[in-house]
Amino acid sequence: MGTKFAHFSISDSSIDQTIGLLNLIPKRPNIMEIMKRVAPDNELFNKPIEQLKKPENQSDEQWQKFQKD
Amino acid sequence: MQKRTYYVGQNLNWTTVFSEEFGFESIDVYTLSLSKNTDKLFFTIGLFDEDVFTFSVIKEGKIVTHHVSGAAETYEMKPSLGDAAIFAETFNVVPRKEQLEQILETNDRHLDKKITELENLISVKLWLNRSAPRELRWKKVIL
Repeated sequence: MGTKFAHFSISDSSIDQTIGLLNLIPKRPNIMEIMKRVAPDNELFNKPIEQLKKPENQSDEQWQKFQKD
Repeated sequence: MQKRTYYVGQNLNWTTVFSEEFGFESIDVYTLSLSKNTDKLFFTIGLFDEDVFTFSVIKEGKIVTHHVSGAAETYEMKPSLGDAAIFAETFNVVPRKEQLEQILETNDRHLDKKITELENLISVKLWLNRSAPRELRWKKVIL
């Protein structure tokens, strides 16, 4: 398994000032925002829900639930 | 609500925030959200299994420039060449812009080498595996 990491850095901010900002980081990221960034060409994440086609392997009921969610 | 552990440390004239919960796919989303609350400049970096390398500059809730290299397509990501001029200005290495551009443009799979070359050029610690913040004795914060 390879190495993985991610971090951010902020300019002109002391350690204590930066710690003060950490409460503003969402506890959970917005999954749709992540997917829009990671997979910009995947229409599932970038088209209005009304414009998406129902996948063949989904029942009407499942599709309606997905659209509602 | 589950708590998250951060490590915060001085990194030249930057303050770096590391968490094992951050990933290459989420780091920009977290940072964009945070940067809406301040006018400070941010940069982010992500590495995944030595397959994908991401590098961004963010200010006031907007991506100023974004670089993605490696096997990005494997993860449905679009490869993106970051703006070397913006990175050079961000890290105060404008006279070495061309060198920075070359490092970003190099299209090989040795992303670890790319990160090391960038580190040497900008003198900011970029390569941080999970044990590094503890070894560097960065401040541990649980929120």
